[in-house]
Order: sequence, then structure tokens, then C-alpha cells
Amino acid sequence: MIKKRRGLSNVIGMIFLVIVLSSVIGYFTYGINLIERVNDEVIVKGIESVDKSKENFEVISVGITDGKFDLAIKNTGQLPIHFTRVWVNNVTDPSWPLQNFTLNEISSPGETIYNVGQSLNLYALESQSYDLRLVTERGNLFDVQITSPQDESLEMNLFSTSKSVLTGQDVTLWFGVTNNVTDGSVLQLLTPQLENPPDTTGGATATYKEGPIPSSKESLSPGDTAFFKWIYTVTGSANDSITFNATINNAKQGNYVQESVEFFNIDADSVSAQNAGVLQVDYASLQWIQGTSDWTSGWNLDTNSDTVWRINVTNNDLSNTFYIGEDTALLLKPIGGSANTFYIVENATANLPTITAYTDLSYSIAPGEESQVYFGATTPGGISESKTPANKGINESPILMFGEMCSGGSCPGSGTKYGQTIPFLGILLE
Amino acid sequence: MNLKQARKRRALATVITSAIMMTAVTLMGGAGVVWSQTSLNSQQIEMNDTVDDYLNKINESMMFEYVYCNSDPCETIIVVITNVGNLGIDVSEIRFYDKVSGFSKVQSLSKGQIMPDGSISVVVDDTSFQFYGVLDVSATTTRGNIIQTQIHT
Repeated sequence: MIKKRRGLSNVIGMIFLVIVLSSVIGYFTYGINLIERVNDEVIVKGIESVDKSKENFEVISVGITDGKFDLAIKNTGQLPIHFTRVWVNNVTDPSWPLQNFTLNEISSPGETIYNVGQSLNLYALESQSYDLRLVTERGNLFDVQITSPQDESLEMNLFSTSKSVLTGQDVTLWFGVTNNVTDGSVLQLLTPQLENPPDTTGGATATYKEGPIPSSKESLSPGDTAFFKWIYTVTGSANDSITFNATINNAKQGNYVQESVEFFNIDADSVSAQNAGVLQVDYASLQWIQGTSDWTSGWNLDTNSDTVWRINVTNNDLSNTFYIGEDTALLLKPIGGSANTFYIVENATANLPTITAYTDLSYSIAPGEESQVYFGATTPGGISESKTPANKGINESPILMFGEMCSGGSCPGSGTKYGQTIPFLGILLE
Repeated sequence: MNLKQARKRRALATVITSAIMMTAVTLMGGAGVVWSQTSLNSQQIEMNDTVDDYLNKINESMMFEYVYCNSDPCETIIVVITNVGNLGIDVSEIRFYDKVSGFSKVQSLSKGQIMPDGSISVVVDDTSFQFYGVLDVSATTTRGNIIQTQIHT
């Protein structure tokens, strides 16, 4: 009987023990589940933060089209981006309240979305400057400044080719406008203007022939330069001059640039090196090949690459043929550095560049004619290709012409030795 | 009392004693179980609340979408805060301060609740804003999160 009762006590004790143990186990299980939940949430939060930092995009163009903002945005990251809002602040007119607009534009990775801002219920003026702020769904902000030219003094340059001219000659004017605004603003709508007719002295005249080419530039990113070209036919006598004035529409007052050309006389019987300007290049005709590229125009080249150039050269001497010497070369000289030389070659083919050796005085430019001249050899008459300098940056690039001015039956050989430095090209190595 | 009667009484006493002891054990055990369950439950609730608070806090996500002077000279600053998380937030105060001079302006908000993807715009007036080139701006939520930015006055 007693033994049976002892057994009952054990059972009761075991029941309590089981209850207590199961409670404790349940408590710890619950705690572990909570820790797991926290862990999951922390991981999710971390992923969200990483995603936010991975949102990358570039505003590749910005401007005003038909009175509406017009942005092209490229998603350069690996995640889709949802642009939810844009803030617009009119910098020029302080009475204009800061406004925000819903965008709802989605860009997939690598995709460029265009016409962003065209649907905004807002009329934007090209004569005013704006700050735009794009807001993404993940909470990133990106500011874009659109600056009207009239709010900033811009860097302007005007070059003429040639500066010394003959009567009846065509003068090419190059007008460069650089976006040197320090706050990273994008300049909008540059429309070049050249005073017409230009200021003249003596009996000089300048007759408009063509330009500007291009007629305008929709927008200009920070640090970029836009070039515009005009061609005028000039007439005049020795020592007469013509002064060209260039600026842009809506330019800030006093923001313009001048360039003068002066007439000189050529004595056809004694053409010599001191008569600068007899040979003239058409800067717009400059082309180059590098690597697998075809003939390319422009001023931006790769560093340390085999390069061949070609450019049109005009012989303004109306009596003599110019025979080109083998020492004729195009130089590429980094600012503060030593020059790389590209000697004249007979011809060249693209992809990859190959050159044909040049024979001294074998190529000529007839009086008043224009011819294409190739440069690319490391040595006079050589076939080894010269490279661009190894360092990135801006380069001066004069062309040194050597040869012989000659007329008659025993040319070349009976003429006058002639040398001329043709003014600088500006080359940017990137 | 004969021997047989005496044995019966002893047996009865043993039964009663055993019953009393078992009752006592049951009561004490039951009380212990009840106490432990109650204690564990309350601790679970407390732990759950703590974890919920913590998770809510880390899930709060907001940003200054725009902070700008609305007057020239700067006497009014408008602060636009956007909730970019998936949890409602309650901005309790916005503070402007200048570390160099010690200037501080605190704006308490009674209606700082922002639903997910929502924004609030808070106007803060102080004539002395204009005297500081750069002011630090911070916003604090009721859960204790703080975001900071700066404004050029």
C-alpha cells in the first residue's frame, strides 16, 4: 500500500517537472525565434541600405524644350530607379516659389529615359536659371543646375585662320564657349552671334559666306566647350584690318570676345619664309585615326596610341606651287611637356592605321589650291607610326611646313625654300 | 482495544497523512507552476515589446527632401521631411544649431506623423537664422531616430 502511494507522488512530481521544463523550453524557443526575427530584419535593413547606396545615375543632357524641362537620365547602376519627385527652384527670379512635382519615372539598369520633365505643369524660361532636385523612391537626391548664359560670365575664345590675310581670301572664324561655371551647372541653349558687318579699317570689307555651324548648342555640360564656325570672304589692302566680335544670345553684359585679321601683300616674285600666312589650313578638316577607328573629326584623342592625322592645306600663293618637304610635321606638345612629332606621310589607311613612306618634295599644292596632307611617321620619310603623348591633358599642336615655292618647268629644285608655322590646333588627350 | 483495532487506526492515520502531504505537494507544485508560467509569460511579453520597439526603430527611414530659406535675409526655414520607409513615423522635434556660437532653436511638433511615402513641410521662424552662415539641422522621431543635414543661410 505504501509503495503504491510513493509511486503516485513520483507521478505527480513528474507531471510538475514536465510542465516546468516544457515552459522553460517554450520560453527559450520563443526567445530564439525573436532573435531570429531581429536578425532577419537587420539583414533586410542592411540590404536596403546597400541598395540605396547602389543607386547610380547620370543626367546626360538637360535643357528646356518647348518651354518645358527636358532631361535625359541614364541609369548607370545595377538596380532599377524610381524617380518620384522633382523640385524646381528658379534662381533668377526670387519671387518664384519653390515647387515640387510628382514624376513617377522608372529607369531600368542601363536604360536611358528621355523627355523627363516634359509632362510637368510648369513653363520654364530659357532666359532664367533653375536648380532641379530629383528624388528617388529609395531616398536619394540628385541636384542639377540649369544656368542661363546671362547669369554668368563665360569663357569665350575667337580664332581666325589666318590672322594675316590676302585680299579675296576666305577667313574661317572659330568661336569657342566653355562652361566654366564653378557650381557644376549645365548651360542651356547657346546661340552664337558674330557682329555683322565687323569693324574694319581702311577699305577692308568682310562678306558673310556661311555660319554659324552649328547654329546653336542646346546645352553644355560643366567643363565642356562648344565650337562654332563662320566663314567670311575678306578684301582689303596691306595693313588694313578687320575686327570680329563674337558673343552668344542672352550673354551677360560685357561677355564677348574679339579677333582681328590684318591684310598683307605678297610679292609673287620673292616668296619667302617671312611671308607668314601663305599656307593655310582648314581647321575643320582635321581628321585622325587611332586603333580600329575610321577617320574621325574632333579634338579628343586617346593617349599613347598610334595616330595618323590628315588636314587640308591651302596654298594662297597665286603664282607658285608649294612642294612639301619631308621635314614637314605636325607636333603634339603637352603644356609644359616635350612634343611628339608626326612627320608627313604619303598616305594612310584606317583600322589599324598604316602609313606609306613620303619622298621629299614629291607632293605639291598648286597655286590657290587646297590639298589633303597626312602626318604620322616618327621620322622624315619613315613608316614607323608615331604615338600620342602618354599623359592626359591639353596639347598645343602647331604644324610646321617646309618645302619649296616654285614655278616653271624645272620644279622642284629651282624655287625658293619656304618654311611656315601654322598656328596651333588645340588637342585634348583623354 | 484489541490488536486488530489498533492496526486499523494506524492505517487510517497513514492514509490521512499521505492525503495531506499529497494535497500539500499538489498545492505547492501548482502554485509554483502558476507562478513560473506567469513570470515567463510576462517576460515573453516584455521581450516581445522590446524586440518590436527595436525593429520599429531600425525600420524607420526618413530623409530631408529639402531644407531651404524662404526669405532673404533668412528668417524662415522650411524643412521638408519624407518617409521613405514602410512604417509610419512621428517626428517629434526639429532642431537648428550652430556648433561655434552655441545657438540652438528647437521646434517641437505635435503633428509630425508621416505615413509611408508621405512628406511633411515644417515652417520654422527665427529672426536670428540670418546671423549664421551654416546651421546644422536635425530631426528626431518619437522612437529616437535622428537625421541630420545642414543649411546655408
